[in-house]
Amino acid sequence: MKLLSFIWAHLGAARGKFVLSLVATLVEGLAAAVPAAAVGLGLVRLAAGDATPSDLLPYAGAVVAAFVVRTLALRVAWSAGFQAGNTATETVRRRLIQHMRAVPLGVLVRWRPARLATLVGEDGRWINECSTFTLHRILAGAVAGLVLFALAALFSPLVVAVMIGTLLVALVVHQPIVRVVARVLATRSRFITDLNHRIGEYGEGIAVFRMFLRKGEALAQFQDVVEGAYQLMRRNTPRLVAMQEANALLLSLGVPLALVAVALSGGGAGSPPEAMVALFLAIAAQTAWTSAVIKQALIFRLGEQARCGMEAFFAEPVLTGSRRDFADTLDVRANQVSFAYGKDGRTAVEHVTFTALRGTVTAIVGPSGAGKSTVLALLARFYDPAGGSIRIGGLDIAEADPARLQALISVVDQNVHLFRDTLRTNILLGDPGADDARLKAVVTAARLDELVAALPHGLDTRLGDGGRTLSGGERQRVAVARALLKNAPIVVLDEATSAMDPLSEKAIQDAVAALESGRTVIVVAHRLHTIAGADQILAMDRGRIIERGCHDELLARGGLYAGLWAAQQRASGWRLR
Amino acid sequence: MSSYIGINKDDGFVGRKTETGDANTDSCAGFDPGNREGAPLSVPAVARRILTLMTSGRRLLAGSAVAGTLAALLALSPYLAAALAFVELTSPNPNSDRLLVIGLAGVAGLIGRHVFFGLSTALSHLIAFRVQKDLRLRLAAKLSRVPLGWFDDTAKGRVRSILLDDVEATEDGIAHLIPETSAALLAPLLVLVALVVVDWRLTVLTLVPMVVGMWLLGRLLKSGEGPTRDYIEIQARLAETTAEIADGLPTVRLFDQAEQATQRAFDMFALMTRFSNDWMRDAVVPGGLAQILLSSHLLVVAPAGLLMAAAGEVSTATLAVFLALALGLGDIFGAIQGISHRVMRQVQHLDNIESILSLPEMPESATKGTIGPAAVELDQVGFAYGKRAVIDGVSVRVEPGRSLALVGPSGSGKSTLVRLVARFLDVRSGAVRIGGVDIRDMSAEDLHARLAVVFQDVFLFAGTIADNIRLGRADASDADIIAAAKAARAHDFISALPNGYDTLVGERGHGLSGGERQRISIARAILKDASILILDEATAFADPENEAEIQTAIAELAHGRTMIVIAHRLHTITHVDEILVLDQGRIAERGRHDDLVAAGGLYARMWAAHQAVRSYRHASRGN
Repeated sequence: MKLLSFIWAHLGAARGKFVLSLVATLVEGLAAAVPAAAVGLGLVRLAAGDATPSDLLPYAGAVVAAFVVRTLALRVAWSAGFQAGNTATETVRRRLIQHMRAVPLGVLVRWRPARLATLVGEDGRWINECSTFTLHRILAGAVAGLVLFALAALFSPLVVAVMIGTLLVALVVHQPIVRVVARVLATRSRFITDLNHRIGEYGEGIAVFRMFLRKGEALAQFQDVVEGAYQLMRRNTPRLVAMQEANALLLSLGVPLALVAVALSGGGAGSPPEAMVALFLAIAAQTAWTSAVIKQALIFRLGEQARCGMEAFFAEPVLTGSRRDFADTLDVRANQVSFAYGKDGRTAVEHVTFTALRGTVTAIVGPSGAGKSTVLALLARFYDPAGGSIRIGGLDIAEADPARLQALISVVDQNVHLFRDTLRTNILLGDPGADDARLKAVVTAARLDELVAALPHGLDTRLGDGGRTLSGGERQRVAVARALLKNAPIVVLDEATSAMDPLSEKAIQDAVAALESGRTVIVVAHRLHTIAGADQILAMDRGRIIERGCHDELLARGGLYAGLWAAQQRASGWRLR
Repeated sequence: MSSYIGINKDDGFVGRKTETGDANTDSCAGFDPGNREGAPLSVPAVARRILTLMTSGRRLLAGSAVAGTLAALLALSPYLAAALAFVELTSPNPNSDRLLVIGLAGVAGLIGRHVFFGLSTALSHLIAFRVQKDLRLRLAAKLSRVPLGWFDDTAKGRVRSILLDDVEATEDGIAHLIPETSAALLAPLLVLVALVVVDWRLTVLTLVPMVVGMWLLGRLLKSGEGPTRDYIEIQARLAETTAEIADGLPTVRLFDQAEQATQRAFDMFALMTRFSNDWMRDAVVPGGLAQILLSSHLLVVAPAGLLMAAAGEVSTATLAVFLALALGLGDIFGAIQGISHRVMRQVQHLDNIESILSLPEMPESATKGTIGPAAVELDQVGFAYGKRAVIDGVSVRVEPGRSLALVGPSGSGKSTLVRLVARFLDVRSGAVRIGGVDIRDMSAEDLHARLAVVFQDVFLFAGTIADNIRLGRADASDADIIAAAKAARAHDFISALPNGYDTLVGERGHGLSGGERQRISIARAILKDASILILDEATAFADPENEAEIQTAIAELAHGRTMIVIAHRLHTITHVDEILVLDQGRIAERGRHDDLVAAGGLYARMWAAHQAVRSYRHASRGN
């Protein structure tokens, strides 16, 4: 049982409590069967005749005693189980967070934030359910069932044989039913994925369909899709229900079939009271099994799914490396770097080689999909390259201490994450120890003064949910302010492409200029005029650097860059009308 | 037994259709954290809301509840059979034929139980699926009538998730909550009635633990309220914190502040463990006693009954039947476990669905009067979101074939203004007239036939590129489509795709770049051939190659049409007929480019900033 060993591995010192809870759950399960058995035996005693109330006191007492034992056992089981399960859950969650810190940032692009949050929150909850409660019930239920069946067999092997036989038949029949159901469900879920997709599309596209006066058509198509989904569900329902109930029926037939068997084997001829006791015990055994295995099946399955997701994430390799001996020059040298997203994905960059000397500006240009942003991601070690190496200050960054490397590089791109906290805290992320004077200086340099003055509580205004939301341009400047505080010698910039009004755009450029001053800059540029003065320009196409040089050299060459430049010159002279 | 019915993300598995009939405490659901809300969350209240949403199938749903009740009653047959068999076996001359009949009756009862249970399940699901279909159609019809502006103000994905997930979730309410709750309450009630008939004294004894258990549960719910609330709150906070950490992790890591962020998570986890342990100690463990009482029907009646039988107060046979049925009653609350949690979820889903069904609709009108040539006139137009005025007293007239540019800082009202012209929203005051007719007195067909809108964001539906362009005009021939694509400078990149115009696009189709999508939307607009063109900063794509192509395409599209354009790149609008400079919803300045620059106001400042941006250089050797 993979789930059990997964939880066991995270229990640590709470293993004792976990085992104690298992045992107590088992005791509780066995005690739960006592009333039925005591009642059965008591009735047998009554039927034997001449019973006085004092003859029946032991049976009556057993019912009450079982209740007391059960209550106490449950108390122990839940106390110990919760403590153990909560410990395991906390350990699992901590490990998930730690792993998030250690994997390459590129992995976090594949494991979307929402997915990771689910892994920690929702999936963590299922692990919690399973480790506090569900696994205990399943294990204890199975053992209690076995014990009770064994006891029943002492009284009447026939009854037990029939009941176990029925269960076995049910299990054998269960397999093909499961297969058929799985097949039906697989076909259905393929349909459903497609239908869901089209239903969602209606929701997102109806506005556009309306503008193009195709509302009727879109509605009619939607109607078809919804009708199709309905028919599919309608067709499958009777079949699925029938199989499900057939399966459940088989599982529950044991008791009456055992009665039939007792009748056929000569009824009163044998020893009827023994058969009855066996029957009572067997009923209790079956109840223990079904309640354990069947009622907990859903939670168990959710727990198992959660485990699979977590193990898959834990299997993501972490960033390694511990060297910190960067040479002071901090020159950036990429040598024959290649990289592909995913296992058999298209190569994103291939044989990329360049050197960015300290304090220079390197610009990367090219059509969309050329691999520009991938080069930046590799520089910041969001991924490790598949081939070649990137050296900073002579040290291969794949061997460098990840934390030390991060301290050398500031990344400013279009994705600016703001925390639901004050503007001050958001900026101080760059250097939590910065004093007020430094903070004020970067706020000014990042052109945030006007914003701070306009906010109700200045720097202490809360952002996000319920607080103030910032415009795209303001977010960009917060990112720059953070980077200014961080004061890393290498700046990696991915210019925003979205439209902004001229005043915002100017403010961002002023902020960026402050950040660039005196640092090594590697920038993906979209407006070629901004890099006319760059020390070197790398023109990329389909993952390769196909031209390099300064602006004038590249223009003279008349290749890709010259083409882009001409297109942009044309574009920048364009007027409406 | 888990059920296989219903659409669900994870392979079609649907919640528990719990069976009654076992006497084990198998969850802490008595302390379901959702259990503390008052009346509005009651099952009847939710059931009423669901029934109101249903346009058909209410009677069938009652049938499902009846079948479910029968199934629950028949579930007692093996216990009854065992009791009767016992009576037979302990009688002076046991008869094996009678025993056989009893056994076979037990088998038949079980078969009946599963037939009825299946019937109940199938019926309730068939109804649920039909209601879901109806709901989706009603929602879709509603979405075709709400103001288009509503879509802009609604988070992306919300419409989708209501159409899909919220409607999907009503299955639990329709197919499970209503019939199961009814069956779970009716069946034990009927059994109790039967038991009273057999022996009222024993019935009272049977009820003792149940009553004590419920009383205890009620008391504990109150005393456990504090820790329970803490626990629920920390669960919500945990979800929030982890979501934020996951979102922000790349950022904190880039600043090497991961330690600080993760410490917050660790503190949260530790608090969670503590609160969960508190909750267990103060609410769950004390509740265990109540839970056991609720399922221990034998606790009082068995000892007392045995002693009474020994004293000759009741016959052994009666006692046997009685005890078997009491045992069979099992955990009568099993079927409604976790119900408050589910009810609460239903309420959320129903709220979401009703939030759309109750949206105000855009009033529809047939066209009154004759629409003249494509002039656009705004007459003292005002608009507000709630009390916040966004547009205030804007008047302007664009003659047929002329052009108007809207500029201004972000939040100045440019986008709202063009949305008012396209009637995504209705004006609060004043009027928008096209061809001399108030657009509120114009049919949607007449209005949209005259308008082509090109946004920054382009919607491509799942289908071929040709289908997507054909959206512009349904009866366009292949040749028309290629001509439009050529005019929109899209033909070359389309032809270079593996399947050309038959390439599948949309969410799961071939990925196109922003600039490429933009040109497809221009091709649509060219095909549509509307007399008025609205451009919302459609030239923003900075990829230099694409930019020039898009500009050429737009020039082609703009030819001869009345045009309203939102522009940030001010050099592109130096030649338009009129520029409207908006600031906080009002016209700050208006006029032609040269005059506005000369006036030295807001526009002049924006122009200066734009010039500075255009001459910006990244730091370099030269500096």
